[in-house]
Amino acid sequence: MRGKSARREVERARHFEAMRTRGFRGGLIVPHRSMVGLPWTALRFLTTLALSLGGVLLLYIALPSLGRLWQEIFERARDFLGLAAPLGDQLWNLPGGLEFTLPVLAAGTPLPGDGALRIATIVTLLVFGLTVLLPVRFTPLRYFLRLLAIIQATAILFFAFAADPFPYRLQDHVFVLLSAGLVIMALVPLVLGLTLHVFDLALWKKLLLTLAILAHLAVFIPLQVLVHIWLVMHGTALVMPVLFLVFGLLLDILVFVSFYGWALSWRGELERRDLPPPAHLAAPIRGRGRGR
Amino acid sequence: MRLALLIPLYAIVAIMVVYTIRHYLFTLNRLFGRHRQPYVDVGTASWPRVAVFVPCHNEERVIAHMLDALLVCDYPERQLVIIPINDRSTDGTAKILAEYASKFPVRVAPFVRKGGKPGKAAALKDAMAASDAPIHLVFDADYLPGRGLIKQLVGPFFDPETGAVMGRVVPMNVNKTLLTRLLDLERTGGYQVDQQARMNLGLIPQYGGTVGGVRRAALIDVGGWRDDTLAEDTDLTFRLVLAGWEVVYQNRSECYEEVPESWPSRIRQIKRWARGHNQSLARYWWPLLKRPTHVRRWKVVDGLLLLGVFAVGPLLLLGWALAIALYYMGVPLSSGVYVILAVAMYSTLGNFAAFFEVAAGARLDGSRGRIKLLPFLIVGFLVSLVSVSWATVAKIATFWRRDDQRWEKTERHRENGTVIP
Repeated sequence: MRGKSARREVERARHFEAMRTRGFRGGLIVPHRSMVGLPWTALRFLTTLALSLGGVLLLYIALPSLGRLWQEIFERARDFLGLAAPLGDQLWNLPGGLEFTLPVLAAGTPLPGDGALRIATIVTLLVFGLTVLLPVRFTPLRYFLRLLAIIQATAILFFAFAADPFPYRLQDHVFVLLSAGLVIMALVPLVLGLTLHVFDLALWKKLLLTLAILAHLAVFIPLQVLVHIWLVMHGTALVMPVLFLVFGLLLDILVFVSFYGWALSWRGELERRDLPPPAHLAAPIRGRGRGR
Repeated sequence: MRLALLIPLYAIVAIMVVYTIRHYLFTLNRLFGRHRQPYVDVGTASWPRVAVFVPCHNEERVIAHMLDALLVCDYPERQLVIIPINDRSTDGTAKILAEYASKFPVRVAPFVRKGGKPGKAAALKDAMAASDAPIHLVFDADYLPGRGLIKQLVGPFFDPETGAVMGRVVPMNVNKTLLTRLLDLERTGGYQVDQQARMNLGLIPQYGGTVGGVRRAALIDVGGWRDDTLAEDTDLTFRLVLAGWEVVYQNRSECYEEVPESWPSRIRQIKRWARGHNQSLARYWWPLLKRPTHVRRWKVVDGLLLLGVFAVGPLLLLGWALAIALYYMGVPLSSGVYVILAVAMYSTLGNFAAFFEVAAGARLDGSRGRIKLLPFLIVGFLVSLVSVSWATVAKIATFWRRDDQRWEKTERHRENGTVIP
């Protein structure tokens, strides 16, 4: 088949294809949710690539400003939190010849004495005891508090019995959290490229989300670290393991997942606007009360 | 000493990376791939005889709803027999079943068990002889099949290679508690994305023990139901695959279920799943690894990863324990290790679906609002992580006890007099 007849055949096939999804009174028949998918287009591939690389590039260009922002936040928060320690900076050599200046608070690392250990032991036991008393509907909270208590117990045991000195200074803790935070920020555009930009959200929404996460982390990470510093200075190095392991990167990832979940709840470009939600989510079954 | 801790930690991180990549590929496939849904929505055919087994142990709250739903199914009446298995019930289940049997003497034929081993697997094993129908479907008593479901589940059996079929489980009590909402997300990731992608890719979709069925001939071929397992569904899946039968997943065949509404109920359920699934891991990893000639290499890889989903929990917990130990030893770990361990916490444990897989499933379902709950996955994961690890350790510690098959029945929450739409 050549020329005009081939073209006619293609048009005919397209027409039939369009008729397959054309319903009563010209409405559109949408596929069942079990069969629905997303079309992958060259444009989506290009925008995904551009947004991912653009995000990394943006972060690269903004690195000096980000360094200054973190320095500024540290300086202002130091006075606000009453942290009497001189502020300096530390140069961090990144791969590829890049450099980033991290703020450093020259504060000593208060080590726990016998009194602090005793208080920490009592508090830890109380927290563990509380988990037994909490009602079963708070089971996740019970588990979370037990997790905190167990990690805190390891810290108490370390400071009470370990022969070796605690291997970290407060400055090391700060450096690791800030540098790891920056690594997470650098990963954000790439991970979004793999997991979010492939969806049919409008380009401006994808761009907005990338910027929103980066901006949020740019402010959140130094504030998070400053709270850690304040807690260590008041609670001694005993709290450092819990802060690092539970309230460090795990919290940064939580920020990312929260933004990600929020963004994927936005309307897509290919989505029908008049479709009701699936029946089982639309209304509770008659005869039942609302959630407890 | 450091090396002794670092090597297993990096091995665990590598396993987490493998699972993350696996679920990422599944998500991409489900979003952009071509979907395999064999014989779905066949309307007219020479329908085979079907026996629908409904194991019941104290199911007075739900069984009538289930039977009502089955009785109005769109399937030739003469070809369908419903066999509720009254498995040592002590509540009003027997009375309800007797009422239905007298009302529908040809269509409802209860099978009564007054003794023997407890549990669904044992009940199915005993009841199997009650019907010689070529297709045996199985539903839990709290499920509510739609009118067209039986035909949809029977359709794939027109392919003579199909040994078992599995449909999609959809929670109906989603709006009850945070737990039910999280379980809804977990099911979405597991079925809408994970199972369908495995079906698309020709891997091993899992027969889940309910909303599904098995060809009688295939069941006999692999030795029937085993009553020495707590996860008869996983066990059967792998026996069928090893024997050369196909397991088919039908995403279109949806059926409502009641998910646990309380945490203790959920913990009991997932502990049972973990013990049963890990039992299958111990039984079938080696036969699968030896790879019978008819099993493709990728199917073996997927099968091993599928068998390992409940071992991931204890492994991740061990990974965190190693990270804590190394932290106190002053061994600097790269941020990447912590990031991977942290990302793994935003998953669901039943299928180890990561947060992006769950989000993709919910979005495909067209219910975007619930994706906002994504960060709360860590809440459910933490409980599952500890429960599954505890169950695994307990099982390992008592491995020599062959009688350790205690069946924990899942609590029903449906209130008496509930009207089902």
